[in-house]
Amino acid sequence: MTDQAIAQQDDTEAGWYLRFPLVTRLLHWTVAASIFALLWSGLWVFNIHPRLYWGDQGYFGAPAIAEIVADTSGEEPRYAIHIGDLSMNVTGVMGRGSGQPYVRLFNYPQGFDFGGNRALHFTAAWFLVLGWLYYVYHLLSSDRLRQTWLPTRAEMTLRHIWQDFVNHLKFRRAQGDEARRYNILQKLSYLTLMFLLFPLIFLTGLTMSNSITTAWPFLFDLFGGRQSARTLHFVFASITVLFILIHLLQLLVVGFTNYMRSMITGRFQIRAEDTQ
Amino acid sequence: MRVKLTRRQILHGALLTGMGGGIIAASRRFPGPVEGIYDVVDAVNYSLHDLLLAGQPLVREYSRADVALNFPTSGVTSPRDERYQQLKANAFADWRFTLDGMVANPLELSLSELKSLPAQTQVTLHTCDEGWSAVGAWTGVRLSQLLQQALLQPGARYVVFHCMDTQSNGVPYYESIDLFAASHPQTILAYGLNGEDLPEQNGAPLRLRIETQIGYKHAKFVERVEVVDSLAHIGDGRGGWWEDVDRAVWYAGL
Repeated sequence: MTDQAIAQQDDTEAGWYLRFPLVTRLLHWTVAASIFALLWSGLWVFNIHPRLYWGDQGYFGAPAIAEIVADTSGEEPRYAIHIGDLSMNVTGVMGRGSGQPYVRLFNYPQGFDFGGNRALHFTAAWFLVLGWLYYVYHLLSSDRLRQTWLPTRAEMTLRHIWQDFVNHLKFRRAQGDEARRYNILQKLSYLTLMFLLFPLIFLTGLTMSNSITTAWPFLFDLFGGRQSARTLHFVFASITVLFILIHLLQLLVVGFTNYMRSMITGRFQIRAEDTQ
Repeated sequence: MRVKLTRRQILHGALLTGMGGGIIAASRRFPGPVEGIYDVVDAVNYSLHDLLLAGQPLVREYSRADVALNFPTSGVTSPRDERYQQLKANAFADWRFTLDGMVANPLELSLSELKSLPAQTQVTLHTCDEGWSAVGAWTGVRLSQLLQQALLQPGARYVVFHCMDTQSNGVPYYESIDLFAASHPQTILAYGLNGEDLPEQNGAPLRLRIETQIGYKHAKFVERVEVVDSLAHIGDGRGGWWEDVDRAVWYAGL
């Protein structure tokens, strides 16, 4: 069904309306698939050298700010994640090292394929960047940014934000017409993801490219060096994972079927009891 | 039927056509086979980065105080090849470097002859695709100077590096770059690291430094440079050992 046809039903069939236009749905799933591929291949590549550094340089022999380490002095090798002075035992979850995967998820099923995973990362990155670019363009040119994403003056009060925060903690769902709009925390998280986190992920990723930093050496200065950019890339990716986890949890809280349907077909139903 | 296009539809159409045309053009000038999406992306990155580096900007240099003690290594650190070990035992006095292929004046040089050519030292950040990076001071001869001396023939497009270290599949390492990257002022064949002769684990007696690209392109244990018009007959046709065995991207500026 076309978007127009769905939109027309808004008038005739009470309770239904077009929540997400086709472009939003297509981009949502493109971005979702890209992010999954990026996280998978990124973790795969990280697994080869599971140490994080700050500055320009970082290698085995140089101090790391975080690393997965093996202690093979005992009978059974033990593994731990070290972050500064903190140590977390991860024996059984991670381990082996020296040519073997640290993260047990990666067992190199079809040979090594390190190069293939890097190629996957660059490919998925293009899909994410293009999807992001198009969506930003769409948001700005269609007025959707102002209509649905930008907070109103009334919403930008501490009192309102606090109230919304409490609503979230109590799993209190939006009712009736309220459910059509994004709440303030939703708006702020989407704005942060779209206009802060994604650009930072792109830029820190580019700072790991030799030819990009040859053309744009200021990227080194912006992030404090090549290894700092790698570490920040990892941190920003972890924040994205956190966003996705909350995103999925909220999907379960607000009603999986209705919201999942709205992101696949576009149609969203304002529940009968909600509209009363 | 009359179709009335909005301004936005025309803009979208033009953008999509431009992107499609760009992708096709990039794929056509890519040296390797374009068989899947990874190859298309590799081709696009190659062409875009060529545009970005069109003015041959220099990579950032560091201070000598920054060099990593115990410069890290990757890949083969000691070739098992008997021939290599014999050459090394004699301090590479019997070793000869050759530059041949599509050149009018092939070169054959001993290590001391290479060292007598105008030298250049650069303190740069080496980055490995594994994720680590370290600063080293590399001394060597500009590749462009050797290529000029050898007089390129018309049609020459790529430079192939043949190495002395036999890999796990029984094939000696090989890599390739295009003439544009080969002519970058910081692309050198290095015989020195941090003021000393190049150590064995870092590729003695001679290795490539291609600073605009990542670690595996920096072929170690180089003994022959071949100028070619196509990479189709090098290895399995993808231009390098990792490219052929592990789907590594040929254009490794990223």
